[in-house]
Amino acid sequence: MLLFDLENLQKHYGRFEAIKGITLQIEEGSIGLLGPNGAGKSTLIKTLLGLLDFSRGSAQVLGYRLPDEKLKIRQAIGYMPENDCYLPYMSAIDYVSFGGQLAGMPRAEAFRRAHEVLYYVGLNEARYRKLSGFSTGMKQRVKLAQALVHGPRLVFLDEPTNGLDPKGRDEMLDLINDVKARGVNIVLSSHLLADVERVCEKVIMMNQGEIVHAGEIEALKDDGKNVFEVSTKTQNNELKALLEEQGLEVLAEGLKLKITLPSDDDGQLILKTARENDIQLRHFMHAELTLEAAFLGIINKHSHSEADA
Amino acid sequence: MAIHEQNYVRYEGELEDRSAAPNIAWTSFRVFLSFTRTKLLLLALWLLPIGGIIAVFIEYSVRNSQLGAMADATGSAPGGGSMAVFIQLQIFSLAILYASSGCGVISDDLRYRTFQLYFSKPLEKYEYALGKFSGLFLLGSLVTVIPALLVGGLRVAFYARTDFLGELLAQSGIGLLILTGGTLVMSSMLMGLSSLTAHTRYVVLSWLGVILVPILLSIIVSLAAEGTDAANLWSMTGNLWLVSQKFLAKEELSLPIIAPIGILLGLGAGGAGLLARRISRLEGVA
Repeated sequence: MLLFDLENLQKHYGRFEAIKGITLQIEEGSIGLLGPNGAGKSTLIKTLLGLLDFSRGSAQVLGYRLPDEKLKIRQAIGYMPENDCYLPYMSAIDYVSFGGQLAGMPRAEAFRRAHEVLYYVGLNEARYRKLSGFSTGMKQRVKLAQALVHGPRLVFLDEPTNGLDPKGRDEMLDLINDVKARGVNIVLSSHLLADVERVCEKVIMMNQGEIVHAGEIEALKDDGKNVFEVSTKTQNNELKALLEEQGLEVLAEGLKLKITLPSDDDGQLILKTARENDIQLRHFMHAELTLEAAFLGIINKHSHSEADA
Repeated sequence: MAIHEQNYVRYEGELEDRSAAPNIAWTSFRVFLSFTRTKLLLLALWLLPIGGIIAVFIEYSVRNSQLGAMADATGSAPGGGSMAVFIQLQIFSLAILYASSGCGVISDDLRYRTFQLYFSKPLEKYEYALGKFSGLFLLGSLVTVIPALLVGGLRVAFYARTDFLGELLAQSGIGLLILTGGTLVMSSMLMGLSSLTAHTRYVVLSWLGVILVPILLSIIVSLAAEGTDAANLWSMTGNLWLVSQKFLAKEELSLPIIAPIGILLGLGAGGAGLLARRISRLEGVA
């Protein structure tokens, strides 16, 4: 079963192209949706939920065709928004069971399931409390509960760890992994690439309304590139400039440089450049390409090719 | 808050393809009623209908002695004028109740971004609007339709064995119709105002303005024009007064009855238009 089957999907706002002809087939599983602000992630989510009409192309979600079967799609998915979206004077149990009823559950069943799912997300003791008194972590959990209450086959999670402390974030990611392990497909939209890496097997990367990469995370990280991680005493910028002059791809990550070398080079090019320019190396090792590095590399490459075009 | 040891099983039960409007209406109504101020205000506002019910009992107790005289004097069933006054008072009660508890009907959803919850679920925008409207109407009915049913029903029961039964039935029915219509129009107006802003306090102010300023204008025009019926056309309550005068007190108006009815329908349509405009622009999520 395909989660998404998009064919030349386009969305225009007047002359502005928010989505530029996306063609994509994604199998079931857990998918990270990545992209800088304005990349078109939200527009894509809204379009896939049937909230926005697309301008051209065709789209199917979970086998349901848009826009004719948009209500079927929304019944089969759960959505956890990034922002708070609750009336503060509602209790958690009312909020979650209301979400279930809106999805089509019978009233009594929705109420029973709301108890279960609140227990599952760890809010059992707080279920009769007003939402206004909830902490950020509890609010995130109650939003997840309302997305899960009707047993969706696919859950859209928009920045689920926003505003959480490290412990809360860890627990939330554990929870999402647990949901995933129970056969629920996940689409995780997050700017925290470590979160995506921890939860998802695949990523869709968007930039300027286009998909710049879609595929397995492992394949993205292990793309045959020969990357070295280097740091100098005080001359990172100088070394970066020198290596770029030689046509190498260099990415500054904090105090380190990630340098992509030709596949047959074992680092000698870096050592030679440093020696000839009297640059003292403090750190030198073969590096695995992180998702963040891969993401930045792909986005930079795409932005440059757009600019050239 | 440990999560690992908990046993979660995905819901595999039936999901019905029914309209979400009744759920939204019932939940909105419950939310309105959950406010302490709503409960206290309803207690206070129900003093008036209770007074009306007591008046019906008094009317019944003196009926035998006065009935003949009343019939001789007017030639028609008694109480039409009183019913018109009762409608006016209940409409003012409705305005107060809405100012206190109903103004956040849409603006709270804008403020707290609850649209994201609604529109990620399988419902159409019109179902949301209908559900919210029905929830507000249910709240308003507590001080309009239900008191009218009680007072009208009691009067019909007490006059059941008199020659006035038919007229009393018509009178109660018309009263109920006017109050239901007034509640529909005012609910629509409030929905429209509430959809203009995410700040509920501004909705309260504008609601009070919409009710009170036209009444002041109406009074000024009335003073200037020496109490002409046309002065009542300036305000929502004045238009309802004209309608109830025409159909309940059987008074001849100096203007065609279509004028106040048209204005009331226009006000209701205006509110619905504002709401439709807002909802059509909502994209729901993110």
